[in-house]
Amino acid sequence: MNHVITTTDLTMRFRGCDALLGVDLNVEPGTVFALLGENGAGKTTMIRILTGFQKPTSGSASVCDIDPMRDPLGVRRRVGYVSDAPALYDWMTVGEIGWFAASFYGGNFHPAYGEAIRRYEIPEDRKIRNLSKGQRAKVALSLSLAHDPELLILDEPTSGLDPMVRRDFLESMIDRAAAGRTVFLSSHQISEVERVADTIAILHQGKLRLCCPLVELKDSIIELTVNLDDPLIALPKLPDSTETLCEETYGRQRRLVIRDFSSDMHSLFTSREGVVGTSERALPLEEIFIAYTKGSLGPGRPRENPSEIVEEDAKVTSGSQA
Amino acid sequence: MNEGHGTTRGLVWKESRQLMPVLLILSGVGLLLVVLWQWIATFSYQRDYIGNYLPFVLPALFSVGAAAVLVGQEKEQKTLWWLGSLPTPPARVFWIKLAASMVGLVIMWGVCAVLVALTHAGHTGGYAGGMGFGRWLGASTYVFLAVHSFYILVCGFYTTWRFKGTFASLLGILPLSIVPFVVIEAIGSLRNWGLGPSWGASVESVLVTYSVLVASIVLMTWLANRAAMKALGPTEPESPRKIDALSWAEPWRPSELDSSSRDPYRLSIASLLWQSIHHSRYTLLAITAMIMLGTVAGSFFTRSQWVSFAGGQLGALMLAGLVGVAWLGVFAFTGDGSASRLRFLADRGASPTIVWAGRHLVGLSIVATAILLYWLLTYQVLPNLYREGLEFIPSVAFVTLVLWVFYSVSQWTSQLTRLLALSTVLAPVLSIFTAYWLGYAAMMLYMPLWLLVLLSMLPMLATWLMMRRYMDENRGWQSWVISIGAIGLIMCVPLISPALKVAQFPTISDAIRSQRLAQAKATKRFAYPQPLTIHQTLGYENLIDEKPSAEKRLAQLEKRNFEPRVLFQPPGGSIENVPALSIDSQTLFPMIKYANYQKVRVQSAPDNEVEAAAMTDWIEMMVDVVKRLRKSSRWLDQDRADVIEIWLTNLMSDESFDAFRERDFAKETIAMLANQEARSEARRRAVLISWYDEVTKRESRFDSLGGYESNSWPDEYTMPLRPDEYTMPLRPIIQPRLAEAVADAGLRMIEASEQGKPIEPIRRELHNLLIGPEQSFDVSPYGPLVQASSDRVHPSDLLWAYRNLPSIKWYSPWEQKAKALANQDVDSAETKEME
Amino acid sequence: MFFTVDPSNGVAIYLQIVRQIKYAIAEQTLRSGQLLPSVRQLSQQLTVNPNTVARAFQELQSDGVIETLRGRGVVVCKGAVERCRKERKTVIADRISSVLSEALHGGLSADEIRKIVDVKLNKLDGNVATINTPVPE
Repeated sequence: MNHVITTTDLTMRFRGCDALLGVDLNVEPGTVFALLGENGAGKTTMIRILTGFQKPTSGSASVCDIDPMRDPLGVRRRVGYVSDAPALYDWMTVGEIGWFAASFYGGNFHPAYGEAIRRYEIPEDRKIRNLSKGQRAKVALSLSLAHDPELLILDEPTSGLDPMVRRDFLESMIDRAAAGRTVFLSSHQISEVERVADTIAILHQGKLRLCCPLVELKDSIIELTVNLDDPLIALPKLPDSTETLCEETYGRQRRLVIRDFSSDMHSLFTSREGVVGTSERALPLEEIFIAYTKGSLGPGRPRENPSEIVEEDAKVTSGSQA
Repeated sequence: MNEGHGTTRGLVWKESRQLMPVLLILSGVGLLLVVLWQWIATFSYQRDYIGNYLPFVLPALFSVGAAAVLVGQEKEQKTLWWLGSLPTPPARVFWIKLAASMVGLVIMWGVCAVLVALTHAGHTGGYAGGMGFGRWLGASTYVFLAVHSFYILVCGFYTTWRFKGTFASLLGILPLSIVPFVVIEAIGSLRNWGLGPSWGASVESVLVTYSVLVASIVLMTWLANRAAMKALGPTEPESPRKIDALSWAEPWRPSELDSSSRDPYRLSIASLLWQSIHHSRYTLLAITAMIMLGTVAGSFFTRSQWVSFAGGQLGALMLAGLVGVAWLGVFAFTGDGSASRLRFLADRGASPTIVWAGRHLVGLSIVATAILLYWLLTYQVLPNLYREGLEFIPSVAFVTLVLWVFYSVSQWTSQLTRLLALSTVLAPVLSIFTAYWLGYAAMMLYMPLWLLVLLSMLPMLATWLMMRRYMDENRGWQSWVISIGAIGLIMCVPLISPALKVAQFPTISDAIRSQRLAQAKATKRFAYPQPLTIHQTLGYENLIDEKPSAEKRLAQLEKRNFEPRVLFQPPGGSIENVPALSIDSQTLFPMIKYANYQKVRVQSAPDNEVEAAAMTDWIEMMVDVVKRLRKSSRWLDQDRADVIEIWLTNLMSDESFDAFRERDFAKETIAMLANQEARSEARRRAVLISWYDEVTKRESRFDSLGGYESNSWPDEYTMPLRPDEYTMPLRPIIQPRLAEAVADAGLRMIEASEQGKPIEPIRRELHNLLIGPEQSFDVSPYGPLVQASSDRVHPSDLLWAYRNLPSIKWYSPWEQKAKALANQDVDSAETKEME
Repeated sequence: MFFTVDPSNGVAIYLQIVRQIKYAIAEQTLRSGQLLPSVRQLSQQLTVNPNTVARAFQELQSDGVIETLRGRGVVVCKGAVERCRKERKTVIADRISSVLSEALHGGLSADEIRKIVDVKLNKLDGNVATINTPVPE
């Protein structure tokens, strides 16, 4: 199927840091794709590359079958883009900026924009500098949606906004998805992401740690709590099909976050001497995210619990999914 | 394509909307400056000189600031990137911005032309009161300035696209703007065109100049386009080689100041100072360099040999230094000093005074350093070569004052205008204007120095008072009140002193004035007095002035036959045909001279009938002249008639002319001489009409009062080294009052003599008005000594001293002498009768 | 119809929707033949991804609880009530089972448990308010 966004081995190096190291990404049409990552993980850089504002050091990208490096204008015509704290012309009124932007897109832009503004109940004749933060964000959103783009790119659009405005953004994202359009979302509001996202990708230290459908992700990860007699007991090695994301010790309890853990693996633990009991819990997305980003389990990582067996071959799987 | 057309429309609308406030503000400021200049220049005759150049400030400012507003501001507010995120080719954005600013520049030139037309509307050939400073700028200057302004506009575009900060981009325009001239000069020197400020009008030089300019415009446009494409387009990644190559240089790089390891400053103002310096080190450095260069140039400028060597360049550097000081003032409230950034300090409860002081410390210390440098160079380092003539060396105090005014006004401008671009160009202009105004006031309007210093401190005071509001970004009405108050004070306070001085001048009451005017209007006028001229015949001019031997002279004189009525004629033919005459000293002097000569001839040959007859002719002619002079409406003529009458009185009183007294003409003469009433009447008429004419400006060309050059009053001829009581700007206001007072004194003198009241107090008045109370009355022409010898007719009376002083001989002892003559006659007649 | 969704409680969102609809049918808040909100509407109301709602509907359809009517949307099936009630019973049975295992795990004997159950049942039976407790997950 034709992906809306494809990146191939996308690399971006800056003087002070390496923002992206060989990222391969595919976004399917009609889905809500959420890109998560810590601040400075490279999300904004990737978005800048996708919208043609930055040329990558190497690798390629394709948005709506257009190469943003070759034809950034084409990309921008097909894509709606809302950034964090968008810089709109302060001195224009709400109506004026819509009229101004409409001249770039033609077609149904102006009426659609007007309708959106009316729906958000923003007075058309107020100057942008006199709008509240939330209203500004709504204006920016209306501007980006008025030309019915195939793809809507949102870069932390609701940071610092009140819940009502965030609700509005969520609703418009859902609306787009319901209409069959694609939404590419980069956000820190993980609880919101949990509601609306189809696919989750986690960018960590320039690499794509994870890219898979949300349902699958949540199904496959559990938090295993092991109660121990003796805190120093080494835990059994888990089969290679699993991936331990992180491990912590609190007194007599050990907590592991494991992917692809099946229930029969409990016996591995309970059969061990000194293990009192185990319990498992499904994790919300936020904790999954923290587990993924707290520390990648590459070789040589300082372990909290030096154990002879837990060689966790951390398969740093990058970007493999359906 | 519909889309393309629509985009253009949208972009054009946006750019015009963004430029509109700049256009309006600049036009407004230009209009204000021109109006203010007209107002100031009513005091002086120099209005044309600088006023001509004022309207050109508008397009100049616009060409520098347009790019800063259209591009620099968008960069700062980051809206440029939003614009770039819209699906429009960056080229279109660039070209539309450029086109809009070019249209704006054309509009500005239009406004400038309108202003020029306005300011020249009231001029009659460029003169105002006889001092021709008017200078018209030719059409070629307009064309040249226009082309150059377009070049600067494009330069501005290039620098704003290329450089990051607005300040940096504005600074960058300076060197770029000089480049074409350097090229032109280079070409010129190659072809030996005689470099200098004025180009020869050779076609070749004009062609080269314009082609270089146009080529520069094209080149700069291309460069600007490239810079714009780079800025608007996708950021290029740094090449991997470059990144790797730098990694080995890393250890050598000086480590960043680890400020956390040092202890914080104890005084908050020290931290503020640190912040002021470090937030834009390079800009500060550039400005400091400008100022120091200007100072050095200023020092060298005081040595004349340097001036002749490189005067133009030194002047340019000095100007750059002054602009640098202005920008230093602007610097105080920009960048980290701008209101939004000062909020950081306001939120932490910093005292506004400390913050204010902290912002100014850097600027003021740099200025102080510059002054020190100036002192060092001018007085200590540069060799003193006092050749012929004095060198003009501005004192350190003077330089300090000027720089202080510049800094003070600029920092205030910066706090008021939020746009950096606008304040950067506005500040130097306003500073120059204020400095000129204050200097003018100090020199011409009697403003004492302490007041000047006080006024120059006003802007600093204003910003200090508004500091808290500024930090809170509160632009309420109080700010406006304080600003307008400060401006008002600076403009109006210097006017108080001269206004007082003018008000002190004695005036007559309105009732008397209107009564006199009515009287004057009703007074009968005779025909306009014709000037009596001397018709020189051959050899005359050498008669007495040359120094040949006495025999030669006599021989010459013997050949002469000068009939008085042939010699002295009015344009209308002979004296008899003309009802009224006027006379000037160039005619009167010879008349007296030759009459004297005739008198000597008669005295030396008392029995010679021919000579006696000639003498009679002379006397008769002079009587006729006097009669007609008395009919003249000019005051001057009355006084000249006095001179003739004095001479006649002396003649008649002389014993050697007793024989003449019997004759008819002599009786007539004596009767005329004794008729003081008629004389008074004539005088009164003359004074009234002269004054009336002066008031209604019939004789407006030389500001004359009845023939007297009243614009030279107080008398410059008598006491040329008198301190100027009324400076140039006040003279036009004082003149009418002075004329009125003098006329009033004259009329009162006539009245006093008619009523038998003492005249000396009025003479004192005239003395005070026309010569000055500091001069001793005793030795004044109006004083007793001169009055006592009033019957002398000395040539110097006519040519040098007292020439411009009216009524000197009025009611002086000679009139008594004349009357005595008549009585003598009567007595002798009676005696004869009795016999 | 008011549903709520809690994305972070460990149960998949679509499953939560499925269960809530089933419970609603079981309690006859949703009657057979009644029109359910469309996928779009429901996703807007719940602020969840429409795909999730679509999946929930799919599951309900394959369970035979709802069916699509051409041109009208999604309606509750005729025989859905019994099915949902049966399912509810199963869910409650599971819950009881987990409580029981928790009790056993906590050291209570079977007799103690039975006694507690009897006491509680006597108190509550007939006195249960008709206030609906939230749907257990």
